Amino acid sequence: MNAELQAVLWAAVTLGIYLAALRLYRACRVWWLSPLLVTWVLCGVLIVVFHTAYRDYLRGTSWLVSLIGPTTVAFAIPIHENRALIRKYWVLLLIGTVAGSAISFGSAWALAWLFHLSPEMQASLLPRSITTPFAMTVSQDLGGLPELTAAFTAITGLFGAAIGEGVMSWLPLRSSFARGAFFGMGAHGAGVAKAREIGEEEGAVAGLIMVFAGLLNVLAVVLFVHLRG
Amino acid sequence: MKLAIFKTCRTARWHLSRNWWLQALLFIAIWALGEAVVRQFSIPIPGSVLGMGALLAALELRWISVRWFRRGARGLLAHLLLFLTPAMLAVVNHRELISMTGLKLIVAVLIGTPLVMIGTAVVVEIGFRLQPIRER
Repeated sequence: MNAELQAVLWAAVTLGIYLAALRLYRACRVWWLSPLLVTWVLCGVLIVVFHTAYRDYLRGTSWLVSLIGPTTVAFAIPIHENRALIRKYWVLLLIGTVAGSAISFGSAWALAWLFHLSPEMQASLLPRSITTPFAMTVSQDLGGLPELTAAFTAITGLFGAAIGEGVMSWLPLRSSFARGAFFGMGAHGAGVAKAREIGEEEGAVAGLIMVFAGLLNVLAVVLFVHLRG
Repeated sequence: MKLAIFKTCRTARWHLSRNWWLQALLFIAIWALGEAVVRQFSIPIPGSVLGMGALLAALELRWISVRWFRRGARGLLAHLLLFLTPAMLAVVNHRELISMTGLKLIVAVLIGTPLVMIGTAVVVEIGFRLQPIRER
């Protein structure tokens, strides 16, 4: 098959599976039917079954990947719309962002050390708790593999959203802030969606913590890499 | 003539505040501009982050209206998962993950996630309870 046709075909397959998965998820709302997981697994199976090189798959779908940049810019809108909340509770948001990032990096570092992971794998694992566009940047700056980080981040989000409500029922959390931070820091995008189901303020806080943690990590790593030279 | 220009502007603005595709194009333009500036002046932060900061500043200073961006942002953010999928599929290139290393990585993610969730929530809850009541 000629390369252009193959590229168009893979783009169509990806979009088709995604749209079907989205419809299915809207009807059923169970975490293991999340469009992310369904599209990922089905496309992965098809690539392996048809012996397609990843390079050829990406030729058709890299335009989707380049939309990650504009979508990162779009994070400005939820921040702007929640500016009243930020002004009022900036201390709590800051505490949550800094503590959450520290715990996320600390735990990943400790687990990587415990499991004797290679430096490359460790760097890919470290930013798994922040939202994927930022996590991929951080991974690249630390010398990891951004695509693997995208995969770890996806698993983190899916798992966090799946166990979230169960774990939360064991915690004596009185404030909507803690519940929002719980989901936004622990499970980024998937967690924010879950937090929105729980409450409006939880959803807003989760979204803010997610974006702030992403920004903090990107800027901290830029600084770190710069200082190290 | 002046009236015609005025009317065209108004129609363009009207479309811009309604059509999410047009708004998505605006985000693409901001991102491209951010990338260009970052490359030109060798700024170490990603162009998308610079673009986001600039957009936030412009909104805060009321240079532009959030109505031109709201629908586009919602549309793009709703489909972020789709944009990430091709990158995540790079795992098919890493067959070495079907091994002990892959298992360790998965276990690390599965242990780490509840730790981050619980740790962050507990810290924020303590911070919340330490606040004076009138500020809550």
